[in-house]
Amino acid sequence: MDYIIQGVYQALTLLVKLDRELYSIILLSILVSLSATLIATALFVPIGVSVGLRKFKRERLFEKILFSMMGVPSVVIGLVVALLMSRRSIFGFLGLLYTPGAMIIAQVLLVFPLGMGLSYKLSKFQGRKIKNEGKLLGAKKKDLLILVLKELREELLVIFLTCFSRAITEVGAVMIVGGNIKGRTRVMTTTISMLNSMGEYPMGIALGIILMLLTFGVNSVVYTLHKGE
Amino acid sequence: MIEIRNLVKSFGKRRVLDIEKMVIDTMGITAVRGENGLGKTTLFSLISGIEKDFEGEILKKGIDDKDITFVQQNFYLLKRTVYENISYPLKIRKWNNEMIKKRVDFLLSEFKIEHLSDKNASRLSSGESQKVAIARALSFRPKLILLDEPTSNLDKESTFLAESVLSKYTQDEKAGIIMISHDNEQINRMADQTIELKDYIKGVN
Repeated sequence: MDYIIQGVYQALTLLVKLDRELYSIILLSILVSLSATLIATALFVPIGVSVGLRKFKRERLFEKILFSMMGVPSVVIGLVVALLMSRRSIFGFLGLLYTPGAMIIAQVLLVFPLGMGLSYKLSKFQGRKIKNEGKLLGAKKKDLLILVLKELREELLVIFLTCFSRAITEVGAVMIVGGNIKGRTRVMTTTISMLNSMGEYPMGIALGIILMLLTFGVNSVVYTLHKGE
Repeated sequence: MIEIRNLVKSFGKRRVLDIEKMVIDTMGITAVRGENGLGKTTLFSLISGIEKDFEGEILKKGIDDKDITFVQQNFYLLKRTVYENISYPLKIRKWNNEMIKKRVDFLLSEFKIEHLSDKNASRLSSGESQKVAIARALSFRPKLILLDEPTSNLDKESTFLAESVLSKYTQDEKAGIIMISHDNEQINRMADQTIELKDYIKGVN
């Protein structure tokens, strides 16, 4: 029990003393996950919303595939990206493996299906209703998409935050494609995992506290937005 | 006038509407009556143009699609103020601000909801929401308004008020209203003609 109390004390000391290594890990985690979520959002919002607004053949099959993709394990994504980026593979010439760039790509692929599935579903049930109302009030095609996006902006923000939360807490993909290299690709989750196996707890606990604060913060924003609807 | 010929609407394999011939006058107020599940709302969705997938013909004579609107039973109010909701159809028609204000203020006063002007529509009661939805539909002066149980959420006083605003609108704007109602007294008070939908549905009689 003592080592846990001591670990927490040392963790708080690291946080208060603004330990350089600790904060560089936190910063890189936020940078990688935020970039990945922003890129994925720029893709899934227009695609998910526009597809959700349309009726089309094989809608159920499309949904089945999309919703299955939402649960793809992060290690599988990591493995696929690593295979594609390895030196002998098609994207090997980019030299991205074991860089933050590869980690961003892996997280984009991880959160894209999640965001796409959620924004598609939102658009199908809420967006179509808004689109119909807009049509009845005389809105033209270009006005309709703007209207739907404006009306669903809070829900889309919730989806963005959900994706960010998924990205920053995952460990499998970034571990495989980033390699957990000190000073280059070490992020919160991979560091916690490594330190735990080494039996070194203070920095692990400090990172755990930050990760918890971040996810609690994001989730409380999500909850507040949901409550406000 | 709306003329319907050999209209068939199906959802998957289920046929929900089958009308061989039907003519609806688009002047004055027409009430459409019928039991639940007979296809009244589906018929209105087809006439309004929000549902385009059907067999047969719906001919709208002397009336343009852009001059038709439909207040659905489960209408959607924008997550904006009441003023912004009623002004939305005018903004997209590029009315100037002065004209918009005049029109919106007029409708707010007609429905006695001036005090709600700055309130967010998501905070309204169901009755207040219904008045806003009708006011918004009238804002751009459509020539034909389809109403699906337009006073279902209103108390007696508000129902009479809405009925009088709607009747006055048809006279002032030389417009028509086709409404679904289950309230016989309301039909007697408002309608110039009544359509019993079951008389037109194949296989019902």
